[in-house]
Amino acid sequence: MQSDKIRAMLLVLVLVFVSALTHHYVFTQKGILSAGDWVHFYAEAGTTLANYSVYIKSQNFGEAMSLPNNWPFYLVASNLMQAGFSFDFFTRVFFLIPIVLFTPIFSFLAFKRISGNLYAAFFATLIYCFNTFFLKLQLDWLTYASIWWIFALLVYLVVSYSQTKRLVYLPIISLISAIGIVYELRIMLVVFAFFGIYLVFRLFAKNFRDFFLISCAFALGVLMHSFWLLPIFFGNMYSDVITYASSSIFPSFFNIVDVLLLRSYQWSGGYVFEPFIKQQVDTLLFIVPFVAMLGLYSRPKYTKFDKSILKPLLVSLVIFAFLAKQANIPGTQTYKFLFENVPLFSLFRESSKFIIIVAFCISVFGGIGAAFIKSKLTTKHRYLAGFFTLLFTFLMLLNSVHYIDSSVGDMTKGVSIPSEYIVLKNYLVKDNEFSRVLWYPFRPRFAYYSQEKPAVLISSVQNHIARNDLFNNKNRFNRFLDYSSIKYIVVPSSIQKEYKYAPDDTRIEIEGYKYYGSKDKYLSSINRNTGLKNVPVNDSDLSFFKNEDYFPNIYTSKTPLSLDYNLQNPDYIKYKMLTPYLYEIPIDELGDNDHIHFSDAYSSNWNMLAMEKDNEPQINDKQLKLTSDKHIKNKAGLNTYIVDSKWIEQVKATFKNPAIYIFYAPQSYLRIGSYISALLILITLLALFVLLSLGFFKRQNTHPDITSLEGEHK
Amino acid sequence: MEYIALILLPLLILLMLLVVFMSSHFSVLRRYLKYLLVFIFLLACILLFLEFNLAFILNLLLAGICLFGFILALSLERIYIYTLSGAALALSVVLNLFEKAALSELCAVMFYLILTIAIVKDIINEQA
Repeated sequence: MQSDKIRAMLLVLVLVFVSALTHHYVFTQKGILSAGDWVHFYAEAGTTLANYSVYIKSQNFGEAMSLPNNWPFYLVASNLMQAGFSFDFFTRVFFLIPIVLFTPIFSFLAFKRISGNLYAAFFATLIYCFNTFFLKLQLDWLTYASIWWIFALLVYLVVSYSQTKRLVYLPIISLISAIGIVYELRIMLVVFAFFGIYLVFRLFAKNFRDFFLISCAFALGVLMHSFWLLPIFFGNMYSDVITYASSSIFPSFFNIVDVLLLRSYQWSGGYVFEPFIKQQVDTLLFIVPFVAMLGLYSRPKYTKFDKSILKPLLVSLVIFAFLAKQANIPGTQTYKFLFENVPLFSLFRESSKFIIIVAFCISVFGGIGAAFIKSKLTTKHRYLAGFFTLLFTFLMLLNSVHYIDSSVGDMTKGVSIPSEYIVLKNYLVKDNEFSRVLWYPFRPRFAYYSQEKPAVLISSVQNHIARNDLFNNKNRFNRFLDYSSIKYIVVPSSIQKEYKYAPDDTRIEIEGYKYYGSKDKYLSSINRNTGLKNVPVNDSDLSFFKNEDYFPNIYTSKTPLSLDYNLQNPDYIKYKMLTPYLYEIPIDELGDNDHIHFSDAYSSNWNMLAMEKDNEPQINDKQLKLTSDKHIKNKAGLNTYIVDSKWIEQVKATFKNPAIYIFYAPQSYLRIGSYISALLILITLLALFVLLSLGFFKRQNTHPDITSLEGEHK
Repeated sequence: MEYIALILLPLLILLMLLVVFMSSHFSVLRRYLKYLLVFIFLLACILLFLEFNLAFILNLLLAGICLFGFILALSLERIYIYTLSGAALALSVVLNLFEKAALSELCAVMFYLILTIAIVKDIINEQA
């Protein structure tokens, strides 16, 4: 048995070494590891990320945070950036290194627990870690890729608990689930669906204790996210957030071949090509379903398969493979039906999120299939079995060959920030006054934005106010820019310096305007609509326009705001942004019948209230709220408060030293939610500590062999 | 294709009825027709899943055939089910080699469907 443990450790070491070697760029590349959908933040935007807020000021005209589950990560990133580390350092430490090192370790442990066979676990880990779908995820969708180690660890913990009944696994399940939700909410919903199937089978097996305790462990992990669940469900934020979920389905890119081969449809010849264009399937990739089928066939005779997880794996393989191929055959209408009728299914506008479960199931059976071949060969000739092990390892690693030479994409190659974007960033950082930057027609990766300089996308302008209404009238467009505090317009460089490689190793340059048309079209559109002049930035191709007539974030007028005529006698009153969700206006600044305009996107959640003036105002204190009928959406789609003298008098009569505040109401739930989250995390950690201590003392008094983390298969 | 489906369907139903009535008298016939019926099941599944624009009643019949074929397929020996799925996968590989992506996908669908039968059979066996 001891030799088995040594062999297991050696196999894990081999897997980790191979993973580190193929992903050496994570440790060695000097450039910034950023590509595709993966964001980049400048250190100067560090404070923006640390806001204890469910409101994002730095995007467009301000919006409810669509995925507040990521907030703990933003906090960590912000603290690191303020301590002098870059966002790239954060990306490597919290995303890439765990993906590279933890995925092989935890998946090996999980597969070993399930199959009870060392080599089956080894082969399964190779399939799980080096399939092209997972490799593609690591090129830009790092949050999804992170769930691959979280999921494997959760399976290990759940199966370990059901085998050993040691309670110590339960608090760890809660904590890991909570961490998983921080990484990626939607994929964790899929993971929970898998464990839902598992729990149903526990119920069928009449194992009520397992069902109850494991359910509670997962529920506790979810409740640890009360800090954002409360604002969303009780703070009138749900309707804002759900609007981010797509109302229509994406085209189906993954078919049953891609799903069963665990293949990225963009993948061919070891390279990732243009998104949304299907590539020819590499024949070698068919090895995966073949060994999986063999594993399914040989499993009953060959392995000590864990009974508790077998049926959930079999059922999940069928169900999730069916979902992952979206609207492709078979059953073309099912996905659409589920998307339109099942609650929360609309979060899955495309089906790739289900592939993680298919990958896990196929890896389990694929590992068993490969180990079955190896065992058959061992009975004939030992060297032949060794050769097979090497060959299988080589064939699986073949997928990552262009990770080794760093030619598969910018994430592996590292990029440097174009100098003009650094010049622009320095310029914007120096401008302390609040104003917005309109990026037209798109915002490139290295565009600077912060809560003082929010980046507005032209698409958000179009959502905000009718495009035709705005773009066909120079005066209206100019007024819109002024009223919504847009001071700068930037047209990005014409070449978005990104490259892709063809199979013959020729480099293809991808032009930034490929999908938008020529740059001149946008420059002439700005000239025509605004009359602003282009200010050159560092002799570069980046075009920069300055609108000096912009209004601040909060201003007042005697008349309603309209795009049809100029605002009469606007007053730039004094105000203070205490946090992005709380603004203070001295009461003396307001006259009679003032229209107070707040240039963030209209939301009924933006309340105006009066309170005692304080250095650190508490919203829970006594307050006087302006009625909702006095809060209107103005013609620019922004907030306007109509404050009459009666209310001002009432405020002055109620408070000794009053001030007016504009407050984003769901924020108040964040504090209560955070207390609940903190309390639950503390209780869980305490429970873990107590259970570990009890286990330790128990082991001292009994046999030391039971202490093994690996445990014996029962 | 719709016409083929329309002609094929009544034939399939007739064949099934024939098998059901005659199988009790001819055990040898029953043994071989069982395999034939599994193929019919697969064909019916594909017709159903490809969603030909058939009348509701025909779709219902197709679904019935699928169910019947599925139950029958479960009685096949395990090794034959896996051999069938292996054959479908092999066919998918070959068609992919010849760059017949659509046909390769169709074979992969067959592989998936047969594997589903195998999995259901395994679950039933485990339950027993």
